[in-house]
Amino acid sequence: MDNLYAGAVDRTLTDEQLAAKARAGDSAAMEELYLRYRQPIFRVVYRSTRNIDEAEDIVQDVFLKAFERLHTFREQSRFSTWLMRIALNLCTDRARMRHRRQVLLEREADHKLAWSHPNAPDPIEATQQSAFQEAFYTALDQLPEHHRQLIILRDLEEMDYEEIAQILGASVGAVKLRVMRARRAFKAKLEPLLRAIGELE
Amino acid sequence: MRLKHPCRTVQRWIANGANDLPSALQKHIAHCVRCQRAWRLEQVYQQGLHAARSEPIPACEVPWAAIQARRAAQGAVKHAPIWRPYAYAGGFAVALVAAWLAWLIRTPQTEAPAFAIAHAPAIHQDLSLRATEPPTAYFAPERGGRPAAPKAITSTAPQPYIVRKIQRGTRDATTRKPASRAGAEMQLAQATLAARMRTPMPPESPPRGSESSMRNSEPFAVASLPLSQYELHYGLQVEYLPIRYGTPSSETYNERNANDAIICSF
Repeated sequence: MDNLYAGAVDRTLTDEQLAAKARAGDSAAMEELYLRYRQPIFRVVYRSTRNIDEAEDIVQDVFLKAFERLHTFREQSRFSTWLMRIALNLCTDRARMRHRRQVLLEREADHKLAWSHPNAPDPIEATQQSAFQEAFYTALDQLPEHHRQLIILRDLEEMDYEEIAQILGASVGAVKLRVMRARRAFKAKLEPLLRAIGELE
Repeated sequence: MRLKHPCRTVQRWIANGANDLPSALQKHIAHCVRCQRAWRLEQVYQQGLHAARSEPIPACEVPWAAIQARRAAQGAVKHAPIWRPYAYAGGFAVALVAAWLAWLIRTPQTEAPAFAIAHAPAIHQDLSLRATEPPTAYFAPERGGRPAAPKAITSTAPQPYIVRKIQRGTRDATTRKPASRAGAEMQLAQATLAARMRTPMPPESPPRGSESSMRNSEPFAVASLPLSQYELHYGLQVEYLPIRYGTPSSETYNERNANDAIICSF
């Protein structure tokens, strides 16, 4: 019976305690941390990428990076916040890569293959989704990454300003200002799309 | 209630994410097209957010085993042998030294004419021969293609020359001054070079076999090939050829090394 619990970890331990154990090389503690934060991280990443495979890849990268650099976690912030910061950084990197790839594709095809956008919705799915949702996500995709992350964290994941400030390493006031700018930018992108589909007169 | 800046107030309410507006602002919106549009956009935005929030998010199905496998793979890469970076550094250093040695070996031992070391007696006397005879006489073959034997030279060393540094555009750069022995040899080389610049070029170079035949001949002095009549520049390439004079049995015989004669090529 003892063997069954040999690799088990106490689930009542806090994140920081688990992180300390994981830093010492405890694989069970790492697994527990992974199981705790796999889905919350995936939610944010999925909202940013809108692609399951890519989101899963990023989640793997997030945890690999986190376990690799666990010694840099100073416990000045919560483990979840630290993990979310890694996730957002990786999302930014991916978005940058995707943007570059898209630019190259468009250059190569001389804008003739614009329909083959890697993130373009599947035609069948597109017909299923309402035009309104499509316009919403199109506008979200068109936003710069730092604006998109703020919209996701604040308006979609409904995190409070303090938590966002911790994740981004900024003051609460600065985060409020950035969120306001992000919303303004988002609406500026959204408005013509909504007019095109007749949602706005 | 009358608002001072109703449009600004509406904007502030919208920026704060208000779901509803007070009645005063609603009255303003009713007749302000701009605020009406902004309010409508805000409502649609909130509607879109609500729809996006309620959208189901798929579950992350990445198993812990996948993370473990990738960690193991990364660890294998990271735990490469400790000597590997040292081996790379050593290999690089060896390659660098080898490249340097190759460069040293392959680089021709040429210097600017101003630093050429010549042997004063032979060259000086050789020049004195050249001053009296046409240059073709040195290489004119005798019967059977044998070159004419040069005149014998004495072994007494002449007074060293002090040669002014050859300036760009200066053809005659020699002056006679007393000087130390070390500088004299170098400056004599310059004098030689300058003198040869003035020597007219022979119609053709000596035959190939002339050197071997000269080796067993009478006492001789062999000069270098005639130089160009063109002006001397610092960038020119200098090539050194061996020069011999005298005979093996005589006192005057002396086989010099590669610095004895100078050929300039342009």
